[in-house]
Amino acid sequence: MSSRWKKVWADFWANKTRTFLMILTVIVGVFAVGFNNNIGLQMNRDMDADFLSANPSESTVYVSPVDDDLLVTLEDVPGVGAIEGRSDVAGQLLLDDGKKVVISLDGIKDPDQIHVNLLKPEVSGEASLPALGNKEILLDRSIKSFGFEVGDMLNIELANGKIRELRVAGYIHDVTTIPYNMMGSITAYVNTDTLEWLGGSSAYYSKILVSVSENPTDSQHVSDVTQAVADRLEKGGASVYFIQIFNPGHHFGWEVTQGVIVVLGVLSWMTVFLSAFLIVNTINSLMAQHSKQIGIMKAIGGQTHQIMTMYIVLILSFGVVAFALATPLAAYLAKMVLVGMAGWLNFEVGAFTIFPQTVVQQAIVAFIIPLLAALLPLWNTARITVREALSDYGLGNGGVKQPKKQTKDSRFLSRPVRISIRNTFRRKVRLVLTLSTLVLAGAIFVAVMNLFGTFDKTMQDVEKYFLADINISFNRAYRYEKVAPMVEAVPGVQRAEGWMMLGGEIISADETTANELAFVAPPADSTLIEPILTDGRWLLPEDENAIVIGNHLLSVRPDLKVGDTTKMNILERESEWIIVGIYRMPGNVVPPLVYANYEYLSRLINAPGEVYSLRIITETHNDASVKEIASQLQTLMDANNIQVGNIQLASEWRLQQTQQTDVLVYFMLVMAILTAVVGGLGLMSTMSINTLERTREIGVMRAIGASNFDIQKIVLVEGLFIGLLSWMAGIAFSIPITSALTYGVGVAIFKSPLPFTFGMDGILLWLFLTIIIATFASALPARRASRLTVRDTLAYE
Amino acid sequence: MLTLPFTKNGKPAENNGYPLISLREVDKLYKTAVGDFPALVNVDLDIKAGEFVSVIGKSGSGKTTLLNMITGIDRPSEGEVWVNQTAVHELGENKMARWRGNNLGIVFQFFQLLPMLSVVENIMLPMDFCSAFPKNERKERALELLEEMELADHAYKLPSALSGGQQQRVAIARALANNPPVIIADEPTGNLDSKTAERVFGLFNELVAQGKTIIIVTHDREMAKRASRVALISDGEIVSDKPNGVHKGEKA
Ligand SMILES: Nc1ncnc2c1ncn2[C@@H]1O[C@H](COP(=O)(O)OP(=O)(O)OP(=O)(O)O)[C@@H](O)[C@H]1O
Ligand SMILES: [Mg+2]
Repeated sequence: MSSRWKKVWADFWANKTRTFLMILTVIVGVFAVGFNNNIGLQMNRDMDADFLSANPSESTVYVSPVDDDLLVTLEDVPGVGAIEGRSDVAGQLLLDDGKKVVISLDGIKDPDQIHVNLLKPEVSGEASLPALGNKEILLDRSIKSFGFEVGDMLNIELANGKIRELRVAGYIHDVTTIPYNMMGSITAYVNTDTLEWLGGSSAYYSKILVSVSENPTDSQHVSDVTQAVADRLEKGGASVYFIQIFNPGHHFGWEVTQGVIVVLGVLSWMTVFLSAFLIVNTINSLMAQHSKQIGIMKAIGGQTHQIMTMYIVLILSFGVVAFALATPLAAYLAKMVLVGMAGWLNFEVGAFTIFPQTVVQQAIVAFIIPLLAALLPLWNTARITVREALSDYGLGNGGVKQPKKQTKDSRFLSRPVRISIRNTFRRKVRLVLTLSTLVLAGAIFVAVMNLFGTFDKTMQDVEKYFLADINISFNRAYRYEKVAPMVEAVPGVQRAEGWMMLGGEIISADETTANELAFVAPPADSTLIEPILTDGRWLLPEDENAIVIGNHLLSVRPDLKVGDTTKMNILERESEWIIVGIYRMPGNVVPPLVYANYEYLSRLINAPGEVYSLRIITETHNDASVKEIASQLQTLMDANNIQVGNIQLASEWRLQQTQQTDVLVYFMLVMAILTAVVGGLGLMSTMSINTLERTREIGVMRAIGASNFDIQKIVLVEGLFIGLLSWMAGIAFSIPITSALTYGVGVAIFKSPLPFTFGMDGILLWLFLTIIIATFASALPARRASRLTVRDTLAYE
Repeated sequence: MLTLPFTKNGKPAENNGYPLISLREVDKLYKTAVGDFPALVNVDLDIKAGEFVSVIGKSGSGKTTLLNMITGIDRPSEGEVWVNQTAVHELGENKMARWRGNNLGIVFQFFQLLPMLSVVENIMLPMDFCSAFPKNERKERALELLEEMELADHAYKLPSALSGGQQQRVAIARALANNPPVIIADEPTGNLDSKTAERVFGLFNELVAQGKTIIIVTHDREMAKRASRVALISDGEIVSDKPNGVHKGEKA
C-alpha cells in the first residue's frame, strides 16, 4: 500500500469514535430508506399479487333474489369478465365465554368451483382446498387465533334465534374479504345444502359479484360496467338494492398502506437529509483538524486533486461499511415487519426480494449523499494554500471571536456555566448544523405525536355522532314502547333511545341520477349526538321534513346548500326535504349519512313508534361494567325472542378503529425515533469534535486546578444548552410539519384532511427525550475530556 | 539552460554562471487592519547552485516571508522569483505543489511529520505524490535515506515515538526524498539542543558537498557561520550579504 493510502487507512482506523459516528450517521439514512422502500415495494407487490390471483370481483350488486337463468345473461354484458351469484345467511357465532361474534355464511357449491373471489389453500403452495361436506364450515385462516380445530363443532345462532351446529371442515385463505380483526365480523363458507338448512336459499342469489374483463383499477369503468349489470338485472325483473365498489382492482389494505408508504417515504428522506447535515458537520471538523496536514502534504508535492482523492476515498469508505451493514439489516427488518403486516392484512408474502431500485437508493444515500455533503468543506480545505495552513494568520483559529458582551454576562450564572454557554456559540456553523439536525428531529417527533393526537381527536369527533355506550341493532323493526322499558329495566342502564336507520337516494337537480345515502333518525330529544355544524342549524323538535346533510354528501353533490329543497327516494317513494344545516364528520363514510327527525321519518314510512336500533347509555362507563350490561342485554333479548342483529360497544368500536391507525402510528414512531437517533448522533459528534478541538484549553484548565467534575460539567452543560435551544426551535418547526402530516395522512387514509391539532404531549415528551439525548450525547465526550491529563493535552498536535 | 531570467530594467543577472535562485525587486505587503505592512522591501537575491546560504535576522524581520517567496508558499506583491528557471511567481497553486515536490525539499521548524504515518511512510509520501521513483523502489530509497540519517532502527515507529532531533532528521530525509536540487529549511535547529543542532548542520554540509543548494533561516549566529554565505535581513531589507563574513552593527 502506498503511503497515501496508508494515511487514508490510518485516518479511518485511528479515530474510532469519529469513524463510528460517521458510519452510524450514514447507516441511519441507508437503513431508513431501505427499510421503508423494501416494505413499500414488497407490500404493494405481494398484496396485489395475492389479491389478483384470486380473480377478485371489483363490485358487488345486492339484489332481490336472482336465479341462474338471469345470472347467465349477465355474462354477456359488455365489459364483464366473470360473474358469480352468492347468497348468504347472517348469524352469530357463539363463543365459549358467552360472547357472540357476527358471522356471515356464504353458500358455495364447491370451494374448487368458484370463478370470482377464489378461495385459496391456507398455506400457499398446498395442492387442494379442504373438502366441504354437509353441515360443515370453512373458516378463513385469519381467525385461527380463535383456536378452532378441524372437526370442532361451532354453534351458530341464526336471526330467528335457532342455534345450529356446524363442523369445522378446515381453513382456507380468503384474500378478497376483509378479515375479522379489521371488520369485527367473520365471513365463512358453507355448501349450498347447508345454506338451505340454515334458512338461506340455494336457488336464488342475493348478491352478484362482478369482475370486469379489463381495467379493473379504473373506478369509472368499473362503475359503468356494474351499472350495466344492474340495468340488466332490473330488466330481468330483479330489484337492485345497493351497489358496492371499494378501491376496485386492489386489495382492501392497499389504500391505507399507500398512505403509510408515502409518509414513511417522506420521513425516511428527511432522515437522510438530517444525516447529510451531520456529515457536513463531521467533515467540516475533520477538515479543520486536517488543514495543517494538508498544508504539509502540499508543501512536499501533493496536488489538490491527489489530496481530494484521499479524502473522498476516506468518506466513501465510511459509506462502504454503512452500506454493507445497513442494507441487509434494512432488508431483514423490513421482511419481519412485512410478515407481521401480512398477517394483519391477511395477504400472502411472496418470495423475499431485494429490489434493485431500493439498493440503488441506498447506494445513493451511502455514497453520493455523503460525497455531496462533504464536497464544499472538502473543496475549501483541499484548496487551502500552504501558508494559510501553516501560518498562525490563516485558517485554523479564524472565526473564534469572543462574544463582545462577555463581561456583561449575568451574575446569576456560575463561571463554568458561562464558559459552556460561550463555548456553544464559538463555532457558529457547527452549532447551526447541529441545531438543524436536532430541530428537525424534534419537529418530526412532535408532529408525529400531534398526528396521534389528531387521530384521537378524529375519533372523538366521530364519536360525537355515536355517543351511546351500547348499540343494539335489530333484524326487524320493534315497537319502541316494547323494547325500551325492557332494556331500561336492566340494572346499570340509564336510558335507551330508539333510532331509525334507513337507506335512500337523493335525486339530482335535473332528476337524471340518484346518489345513495342513509337516513339516520334520532328522536327529537336525543342527547346522544353532538354534531359539529359548519353551516345552518341542527334539527329542532318541531322540524318536519328537515334534514342536516354532511361533508360526505357534499363531496358527491357539491351544489347542495342550506335552504335547498331536495327530492329523495325512500322505500320506492319520493319525498321532499329541506336542508337546514350542514355537519362535518371526519373520515370517509359510504353511503353518506343524512340526519332527520325520527318522529317525522317514522310517520313518513308508516311505521310510527317502530325502531331498528336502541342506543343505550349506561350509568358507569368503564369497559368492564358496560361489557357486563351488554351480555345481560343479550340474554334478555334472547329470552324475549327479540331478533338482535348485533350488539356493539362503543369501546369495541374504538378499539377496532385505533387498530387500523395504529399500524401507521407505530411506523411513524419508528421513523421519529430514527430521527431522534440522528439528532443525538449529531449532538454527540459535535460535542466530541468540540472537546477534541479544545483539548489544549482543557489542559490549561486542568493545569490551573479544574477538577474532573468541573470539566465534565462544562461539556455537559453545553450539550444540554444546545438540546434546549433545539427543543424550542423544534416546537416552532413542528407546526408546518404537523399541518402537512395531518393533511397528507388524512387525504391518504380518510379521504379528507384531518383537523390540525397541537398537543402538549409531544412537546413535553420531546423535552424529556431531548434532555436524555443531550445528556447521553455529551456524557461520552465529557468523560473523555475529563480523562485528559495535562501532559496529553499539551502533546496534542 | 536556454532562457535567462531578466530583471525588469533589462539587465541580465549578475554573477558568473546562472543563479539557481533569483529574486528580483521583490516586495511583499501584508494587508492588515491598520494598513499595509511591508514585510519585504525591494529584495534582490541570487543564489548559485551549490551554495549554502544562511539567512539571519531579528524576529519579525521577514526571514520566513523571504523563504515563502522562494518556495512559492506565498507570492510576492511585486517583483519576480525564479527558481531553477521556473517563474515561481507565475505558477498556479496546483502546478506549484507538483513543482515544489520535485524541485524543493522543505524542512519546517516544527518538523511537521504526519502523525498517523510511520517514519518510513512519511518519507515515501513525497515520492508517492510526485511519482518520483518507480513504485517498487520508493521504500528502498526511503530506507536508504533513513540509513544516511542513522535512523534505520526507527523506520517503523510513529513520529511521536521519536525525539525532536530524530524527528528533524526524518523531516530532512523527507525533504530529500524526491532528490530535489534545493533544500530550504526554516529554523531547522530552533527546537534542538546545540549538540543535535551541530549534527544537523553537519548533515547540511554533507548535502552541499553532494551538490545540493541549501538555504536555511537560523537565529544561531555561530551556526550561521558554518554556511558558505550569510545574508542579514532587517525590516524586510537585505542589509548585508557576505560569504561567511562577520556582520557588524547587528545585535543578536
Ligand atoms: N499574514 C500576515 N499578515 C500580516 N502580517 C504578517 C503576516 N505574516 C507575517 N507578517 C508580518 O510580517 C513580518 C515578517 O514576518 P516573518 O514571519 O517573515 O518574520 P520572521 O523573520 O520569520 O520572524 P521569526 O524569527 O519570529 O520567525 C512580521 O512583522 C509579521 O508580523
Ligand atoms: Mg519565521
